[in-house]
Amino acid sequence: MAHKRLYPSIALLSVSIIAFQLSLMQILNHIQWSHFAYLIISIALLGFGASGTVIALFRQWFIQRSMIIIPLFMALSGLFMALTIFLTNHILAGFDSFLLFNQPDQTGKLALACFIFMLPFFFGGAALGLIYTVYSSQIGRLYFADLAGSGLGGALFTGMIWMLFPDKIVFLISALPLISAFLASTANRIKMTGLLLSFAAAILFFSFDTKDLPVSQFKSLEKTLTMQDAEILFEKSSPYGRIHVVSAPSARFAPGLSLAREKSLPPSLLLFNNGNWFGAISTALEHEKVEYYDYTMMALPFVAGKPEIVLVLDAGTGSPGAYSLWKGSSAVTLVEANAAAIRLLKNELADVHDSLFYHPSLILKQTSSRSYLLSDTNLYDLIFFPEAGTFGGSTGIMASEENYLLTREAFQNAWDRLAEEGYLMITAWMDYPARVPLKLFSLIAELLHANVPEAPENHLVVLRSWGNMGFLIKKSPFSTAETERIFEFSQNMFFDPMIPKNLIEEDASTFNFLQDENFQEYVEKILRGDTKYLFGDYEFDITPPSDNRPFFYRFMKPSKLKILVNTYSFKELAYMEPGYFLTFMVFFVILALSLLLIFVPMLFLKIKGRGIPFTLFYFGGLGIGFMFVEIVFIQQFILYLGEPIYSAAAVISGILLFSGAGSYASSRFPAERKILSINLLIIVPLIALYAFLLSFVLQNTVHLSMFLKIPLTLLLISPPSFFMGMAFPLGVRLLSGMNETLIPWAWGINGYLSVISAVLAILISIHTGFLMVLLFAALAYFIAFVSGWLFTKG
Amino acid sequence: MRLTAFLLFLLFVIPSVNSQNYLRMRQNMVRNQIENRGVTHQPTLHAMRAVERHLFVPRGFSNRAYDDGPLPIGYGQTISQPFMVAYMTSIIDPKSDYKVLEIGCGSGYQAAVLAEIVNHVYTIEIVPELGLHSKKLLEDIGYKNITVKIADGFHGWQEHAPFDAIVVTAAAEFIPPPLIAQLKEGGKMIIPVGSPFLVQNLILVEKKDGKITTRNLMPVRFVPFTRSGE
Repeated sequence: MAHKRLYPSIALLSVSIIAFQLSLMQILNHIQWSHFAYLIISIALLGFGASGTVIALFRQWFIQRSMIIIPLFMALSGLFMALTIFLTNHILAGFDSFLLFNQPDQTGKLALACFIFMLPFFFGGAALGLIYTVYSSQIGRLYFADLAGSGLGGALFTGMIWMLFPDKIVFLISALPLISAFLASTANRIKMTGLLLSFAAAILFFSFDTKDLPVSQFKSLEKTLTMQDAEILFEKSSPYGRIHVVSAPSARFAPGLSLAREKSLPPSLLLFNNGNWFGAISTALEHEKVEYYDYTMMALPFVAGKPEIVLVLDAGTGSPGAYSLWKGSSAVTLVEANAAAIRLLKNELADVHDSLFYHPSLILKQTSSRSYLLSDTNLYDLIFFPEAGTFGGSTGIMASEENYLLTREAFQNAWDRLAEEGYLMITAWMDYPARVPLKLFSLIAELLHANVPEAPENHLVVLRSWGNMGFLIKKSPFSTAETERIFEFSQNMFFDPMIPKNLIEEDASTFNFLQDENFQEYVEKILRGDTKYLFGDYEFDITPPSDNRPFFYRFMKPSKLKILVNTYSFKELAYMEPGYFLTFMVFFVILALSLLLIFVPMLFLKIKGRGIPFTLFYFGGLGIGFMFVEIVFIQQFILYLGEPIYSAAAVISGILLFSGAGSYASSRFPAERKILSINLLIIVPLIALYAFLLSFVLQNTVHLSMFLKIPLTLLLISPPSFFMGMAFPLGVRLLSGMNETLIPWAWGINGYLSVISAVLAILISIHTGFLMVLLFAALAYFIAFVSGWLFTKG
Repeated sequence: MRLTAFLLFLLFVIPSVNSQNYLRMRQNMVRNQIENRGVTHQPTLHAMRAVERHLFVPRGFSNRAYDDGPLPIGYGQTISQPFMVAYMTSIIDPKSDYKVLEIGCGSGYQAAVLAEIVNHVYTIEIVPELGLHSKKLLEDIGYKNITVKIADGFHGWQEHAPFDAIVVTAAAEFIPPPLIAQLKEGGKMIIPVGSPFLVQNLILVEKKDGKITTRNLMPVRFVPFTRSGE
């Protein structure tokens, strides 16, 4: 019988594990890149699975000493959390994921990092796994404490990150497992207290290490800081990342500036988020702040017409808004999700920005741009989209990141928000081989074919400079006067007109020659809708993304991989789209490790008795199904609620808390084959139903106020979460009646497959979409049902 | 006596063997990585054979100095792939009386290759540590026709303008207006776009009759789109 202190002990341990995971994610995002953070965290989480394997191997030994080992493992988990940061500072200095494919010694450092980061998860997971093994009859309530603690951990981290940098948070939360250990200890309490105090002293010692985190030299921030007289003015922690404001007298910002510009440019203050570029604020006075935009594609809508009411999506530091006001627009709405950056711009940087964000004609909306488009009912004369692609074409790092602003549905939402004479403006950086501009063309062409099928070319103007392209879309056809003004602008700026064809006058100069002479032909084909062969034959995926498959920057096509490897080399491809290849790499590494560690106990334990197929398929099915549902819910509801950080925290916490409630409720039911099967027979159709109806419900209620959307979110999350939460403890109890030696193994399998499926969900979604991920989740639970039905008879 | 002989061996024979190795590696580099990819500009090929690239890479990378790729030199910067250096040099068609401006001195290697051909190279580096290191290295090697300045390349080098050619090795999201102004009528500017570890594309800017044109040179192998079904 578990003593009462064990419940808060488990909850505190879970709070710290989740908060540690989120802190580590933030730290790695800051010192390296998100794809690297993703890789490390995925491998580190295998520590959970590995703990199940170790317990399974030495089950009897562990059970006999569980009174000592459970608190000891809890304490070790805390100690290694603090040690991880200390070792990151000292051992990881010199590691750079950017050089992974270039310098062989970097692989060793990466393996070492993965091992170090795995240890806190291993010891935490081992403590929990051993508790579930020893007290399997009370698994429902114990698992509830685990899940509830995890939910609270997410919320706690979200609150703390506003005040503390994540590396400091780790030292604070690493004390929680020591308290857990104290609560869990029942034997040798004096010795245990002594040990815990020595661990606490060690954590305190590590926390005084003042060495800075080793940030990659290739991050924009680090490169900027090498410039003469560059200095950091502000540094703020937030759930959105670590924000730096840098003063660098040499830094200027004028993306895609025309070569016709002769006057110099004013310097700018620079903003970085997690060391990556966020935006610039010109430090010039008055109109000099923005007048140079007259020499960029941003001027295009103001050359064509006089837009009064302007909407700027993903506004960043608000440059298009400032420019619009200078050009005479009467009302500008800026939409930006990063609340931390907005706070800085409205407070510490208000003077530099001439109090732009307090301008009477400017409205600021702090939400994600797509959510704003979904819920807004106003009409605009001009909508600015953020620029697509990056200078130099290194967008491949974002290949597995969702982008809900560059989908066919988002473009339709924007079109619906345009006034009758309204413009939609977007720029794209050129890349070679051409990917970003062609995919953007596909999106725009599809939008025009859907809305103005009779003459789409009359609604689009495209200009091309030495480095980027400007797309101006108009709801009504462009007039002759408008196109004449645009033509004159293009000639003055040394920009080449591409669309409409009548702008390409035979006697006009060509300013910017492309090596790929087919480019114009591809563009015209896409605009004509003649894409049947182009989309299939082109080496890269340039089909328009959708909300179901919102991966604009994924260009790799498995069917063309062989050709691409022959053309470039695998090494170059890996640099071209690291986000894509790294996801595969992580998947195969985790799969190999998991398979090895799942089958090791079978080889060494010589497990006797029944229950092996049930353990494998039932707990494996639950691991996959639960994670698939969680990932799809997070992405669907973040879009619905609009505020990425809090939405993610609310959704994850909601899922864990309702699952915890299900786990708690499961203790009221007998662990029988029939109950188990009924529960799964509820889950399978429920998930299938959500696969087809969830986005419909969300789309039709997205306009509601947040006051209504949050309870609706929780209402929608609760049924599947509740029943999914019942499945694990019911299975453990049933298994303990059949063959309790398999319980640690079940814990390990569940852990491994949860990690594998987190990566697998991304792989499935980037190729086939999120709907398919939910259907696979239903299939995973169905396999669990079949295994429960077949292998637990009698 | 034996000791003296051994020391003499260490002093003269080993460096000579190494230098023979590097010479062979350099000749292989020019033949396999540069000539075979279509660079035929003789002054460039001569310069690439003459400049000892292994002197410009950080210690520890010397054995990879003649590899077909860029190498990190610290501060988030790289020494460009040999082919890129050769291609960029050949494309501006440098002449012996040319005055060339380089923006982004980095390791100093590109400046050294240019200096083998042209009259004078003015090179600017914004990272002080890199600039000072390159300046000393170029002086130590004996280049008299290279002038290094630690400054913001945005402004170019007005005192020595106009330039016959400008080589920008640290490209930004815009081409600084002062550089266009300091380019001689009929002059050429070359800019690599893209990360050195990725596929890089070159842009050639030409100033002629008051008009500025650009040309994407795309020096990468790329299988053109095949129109099956047509």
